[in-house]
Amino acid sequence: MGPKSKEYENPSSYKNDEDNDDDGDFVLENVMSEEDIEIETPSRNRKRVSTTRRTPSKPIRSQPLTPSSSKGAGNEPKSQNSSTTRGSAKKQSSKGLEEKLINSYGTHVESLNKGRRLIEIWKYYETAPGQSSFEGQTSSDSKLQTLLNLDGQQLLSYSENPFYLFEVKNLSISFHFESPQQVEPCQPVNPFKENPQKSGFVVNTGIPLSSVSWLPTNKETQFLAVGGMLKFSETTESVFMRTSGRNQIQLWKLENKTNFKSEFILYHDWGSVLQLEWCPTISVEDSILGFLAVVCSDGKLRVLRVPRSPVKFHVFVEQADFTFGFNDSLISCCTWVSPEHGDIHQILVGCSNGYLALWDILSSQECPLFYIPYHDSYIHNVVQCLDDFPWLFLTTAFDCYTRIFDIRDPIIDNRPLSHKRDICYTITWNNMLQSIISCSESQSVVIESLRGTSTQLLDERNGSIISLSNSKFHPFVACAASDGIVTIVNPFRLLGFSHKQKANVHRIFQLEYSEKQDSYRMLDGFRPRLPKAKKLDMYIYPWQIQVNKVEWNGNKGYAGWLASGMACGILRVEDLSAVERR
Amino acid sequence: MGKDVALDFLPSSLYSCTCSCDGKLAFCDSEKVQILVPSTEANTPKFMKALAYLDDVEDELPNCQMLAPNELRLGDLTPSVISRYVVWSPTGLADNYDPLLTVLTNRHRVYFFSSSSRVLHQKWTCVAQMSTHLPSDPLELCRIHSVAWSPLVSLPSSSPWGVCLFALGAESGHVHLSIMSHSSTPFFKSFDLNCSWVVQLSFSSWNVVGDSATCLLSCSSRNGEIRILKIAISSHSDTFDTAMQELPFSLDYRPFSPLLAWSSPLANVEYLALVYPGHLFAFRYDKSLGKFCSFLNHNLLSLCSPSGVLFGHNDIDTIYVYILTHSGTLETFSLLDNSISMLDSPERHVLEKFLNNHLQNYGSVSDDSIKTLKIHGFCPSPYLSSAALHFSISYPASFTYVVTAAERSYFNFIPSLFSKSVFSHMITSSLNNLCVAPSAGCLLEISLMNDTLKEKTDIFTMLTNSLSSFLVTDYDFFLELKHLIDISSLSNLYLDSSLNAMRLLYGWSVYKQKALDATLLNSLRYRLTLYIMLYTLSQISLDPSYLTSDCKAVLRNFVSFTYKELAEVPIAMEVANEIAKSLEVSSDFSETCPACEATVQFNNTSLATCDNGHVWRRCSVTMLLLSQKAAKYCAVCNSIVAIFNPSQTKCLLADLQNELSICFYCGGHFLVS
Repeated sequence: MGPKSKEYENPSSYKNDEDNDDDGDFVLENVMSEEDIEIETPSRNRKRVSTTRRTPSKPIRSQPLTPSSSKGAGNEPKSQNSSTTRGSAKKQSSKGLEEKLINSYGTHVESLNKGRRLIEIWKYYETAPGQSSFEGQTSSDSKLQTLLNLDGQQLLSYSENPFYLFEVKNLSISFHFESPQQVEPCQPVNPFKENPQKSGFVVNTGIPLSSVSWLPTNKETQFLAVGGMLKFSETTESVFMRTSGRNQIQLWKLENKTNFKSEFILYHDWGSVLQLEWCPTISVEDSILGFLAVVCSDGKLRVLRVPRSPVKFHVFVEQADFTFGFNDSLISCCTWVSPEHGDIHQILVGCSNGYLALWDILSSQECPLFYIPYHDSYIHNVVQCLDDFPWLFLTTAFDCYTRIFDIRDPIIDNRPLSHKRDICYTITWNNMLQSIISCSESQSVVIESLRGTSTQLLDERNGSIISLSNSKFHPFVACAASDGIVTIVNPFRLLGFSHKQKANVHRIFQLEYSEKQDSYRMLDGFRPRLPKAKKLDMYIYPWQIQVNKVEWNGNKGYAGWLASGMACGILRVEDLSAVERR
Repeated sequence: MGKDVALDFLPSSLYSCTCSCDGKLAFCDSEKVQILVPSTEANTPKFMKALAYLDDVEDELPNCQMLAPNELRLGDLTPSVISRYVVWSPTGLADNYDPLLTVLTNRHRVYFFSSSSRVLHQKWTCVAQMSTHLPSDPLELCRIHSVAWSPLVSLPSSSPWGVCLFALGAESGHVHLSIMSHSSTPFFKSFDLNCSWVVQLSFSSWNVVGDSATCLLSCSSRNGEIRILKIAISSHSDTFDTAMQELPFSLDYRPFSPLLAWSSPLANVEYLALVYPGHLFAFRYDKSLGKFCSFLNHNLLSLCSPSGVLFGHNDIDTIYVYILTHSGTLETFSLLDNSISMLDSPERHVLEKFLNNHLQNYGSVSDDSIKTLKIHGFCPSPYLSSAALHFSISYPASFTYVVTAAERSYFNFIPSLFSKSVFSHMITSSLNNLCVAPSAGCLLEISLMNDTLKEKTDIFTMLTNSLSSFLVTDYDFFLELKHLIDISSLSNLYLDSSLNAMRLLYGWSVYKQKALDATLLNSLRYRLTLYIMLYTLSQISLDPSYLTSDCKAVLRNFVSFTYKELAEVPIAMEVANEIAKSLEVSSDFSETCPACEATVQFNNTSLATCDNGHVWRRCSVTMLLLSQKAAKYCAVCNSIVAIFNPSQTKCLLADLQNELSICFYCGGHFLVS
């Protein structure tokens, strides 16, 4: 009776029991050994409990299975209690697991088995694991296609027209509760100097970031395209109006995971950059870095063939290689169309009047393949459902509808997914889950299964969800919101356990802004925790700390790198595969 | 102004509406199809709304979770059945000789709907499901992405109701073809086109040579491949032959399906139009040579996808092409051989005026707000004199809708579209065969023209002048009664030009003027009575047991009517006396009242009164008392025809029931009550 009463009186011990049920047999046996220690030395027991709470996954990896010695050490009544708890947990989880599996993957044998394997692999990770785990678990690498031969085309047209450099102020940023330091523009700062196991960079780009895009490549050197709005302001012109002006696109280079620098800057007169999207192919020409699709506030879509090594650092783009647009509407978003077979040469765009259009770069006539009404208002996002459903596309618009359609026959094969009570600012497709991840009521991240009708809540925030990002190498969902916080969540924590299980949310960093001092504070090193209930009151955060875009790197070997662009011009690039808790 | 119909739904598809031969409109309305039936009743709305529900047709939901990712379609994931495409068949295919409503759903299945309706309470039910006639394996062979009907063709030696072709475009690149006629069961033949999904189908008109007819079926796949099938049918057999017709001209690289449309024939020439966003190709097909001769290439101003194509004729034998995009841009040009001339854009001004009027009617208009016009459907009428326009207006910046509406007579505003040649073509089609070209649709088109023209007498004058040459007076008809040709079938009544001319005039008087023309009505009744009696005499000589007791009752009424009304016509009296001899009854027979069994004298062709004062209405064809409940009404002139159940399959009543399946007096279709 003595040990039992102590166990119930100690809240931390109760939490241990709950965690142990989730982790499985190994943790249960460890708890028995810890209870033995607790009887002998209570003060030492507390330290051990806190250690276990900090790193619950470490014992799984480091300690081998030794059932005989562990069972021999304990007495008979304790072992009976452990077995009873283990049995009840399995019964509950198995029923919910099957239902969730069928809702996500259907009853097709291959899809279902694939889902089971993925769940078994990923359900134990509460946060981003090591790099070896990322790459080792990938069953196959998707082969990137090369673009058709365009030898007859001229390279990017840039000239020596006079242009002016933008005046950028220094930002005062404080890291890890240290004193603020002045960060100069385009000078990367490593916030993890004291921790050699972590790698990342924080940059003051000098433009209010709205879009970031990693270049697809199979080489070690990574490139990141960064674009932003015209000016730093809380308000902007209407999205239904054409605006233009001098702006820039910065290309950053990441070498050997240790060196991050600005490669060159592309200047243009097209206004605010709404979206940047690299063509998801590897360039076959050494002189060309890649094809970059740019959607600007002048309502046109341009495709730039970006040179690998331009002559100058400051490059002015006078005319794009391909320009697409309409007279009666503005292009608001785009996505490259990766067909099921063949090469990539089509771009699907959404317009401000709710129309969808499909452009083909190879078509000699500069007319869209189709231009049909689809939504009733501004289309905000167009996403392709790669890799299992390359013909399905997701769209969100200001009419609060989320739709999905088949590009092979868009008139017949289309349906609304849901009607939300607020504008859905972002939507992504998670191929591992076979589900759509979007935001509902602008503050909740939800998973909508493609095959089933279930909708699961993944995270709740106090600010509006601005951007979501998925990767094909791992299932972690990166969430960015207007509260200046970027989090990652493992959605397989919802699938791999019982109904009541919730996924832990790992806050990567939090950006805070003081208007009085005109300084920023960037906090990281947060512990994964369960999502808190949403507050009833609505808090308006400063516009400076809004994180406008997050994107995982989609290249093999760099799948753990996450780029975050913020409205104040801060760009944070971080290797999350090396995350270690202190 | 035009006839607006305010609709209370948002369409579930583009290309959301379709017109039938007799003037019905159908719209895609998510889980049902909204059907507008034109109404000719006084003090009633111009259209009666009816619904065809799709929920009842799907008994079992497919197990979509068993499908692999490459076999999964979005329609399988939707819990309800949604209409995606609707098209009317030619007339005469349903059991009540109406057009069949063909619905393509989001699950890539095709259903036939027909009305079993009562007046003012229309209900449409599913009568056939095409998936039961298609092979079920592999799955992509029975997934349908496009539907098309060919026009009706009435070959000389076949039934006057004619036959047509029904085509289904499958996901596997096949086209399923079937010959369809009245109440026939589809029997499909599949042809491999060696392409991807067949998403567009379009039939040309028929080219009749002797006892055979040929037409072209143009197909388009989702990758933009164009295939043309040449289909030949013969009246001697129930099968058809197909051959691939090559398109001799190569197009630019366009990996998407265009909108296919065939023009109406003009001087043995027909055009096939391929409409892409911003571009048009028109291929000239010579029927006499049987091949494509040349093609025209034209750049369009708008980059929007087209919502419909209309080919119009003017009086100097020039074909105009009208293309209306989803964004409301109208473009027009002429299909001349060596020159393409753009008009002075009067159509644009008409369109702007049209839209401004509707904006004022449907809500406040602010110049500062951004308006978006969406053309959901644009469907020309079968006679190409008007078009149904289904549109909605929304304000993207303020996230609000205004209205969705259907406008039928928009193109009546365009002076160049309305021409005498179109009118003549319409009249000629109806005069030749009312089975193929029902008078209900013709009268509706004439009514729309009459409503839009300033000089209202022009239409009536044109109609009278066009039909006067075909009219035969009663005196001339009686003189040539003995020389009537081809009395072997009662259906030939609808192939006679003089009768059809009288029907159009009588129908117009009822349809537009809301007044009966007693002279025309009596003339038509004379012809009907004498023709049926002559037909009976010819059948009696072949089959002595042709007449039943009910048949004799009908003939007694005919004899009484002839004695009363045509006593001064010797030839009519002669025919009536001959019928009376075959009946073997006296000439002073009478009917009995069902209520009191009193004697009912034949005094009126519409009403009957017994000696005790009971009043009964008579059938407009057989003039029998309508004591039974089953009867059907003509949708145009409201004449009542009794529905009989003949005791034997081969008798006069059975022939009247089966072959007089549209109204004899005006050519309209019946509504069963």
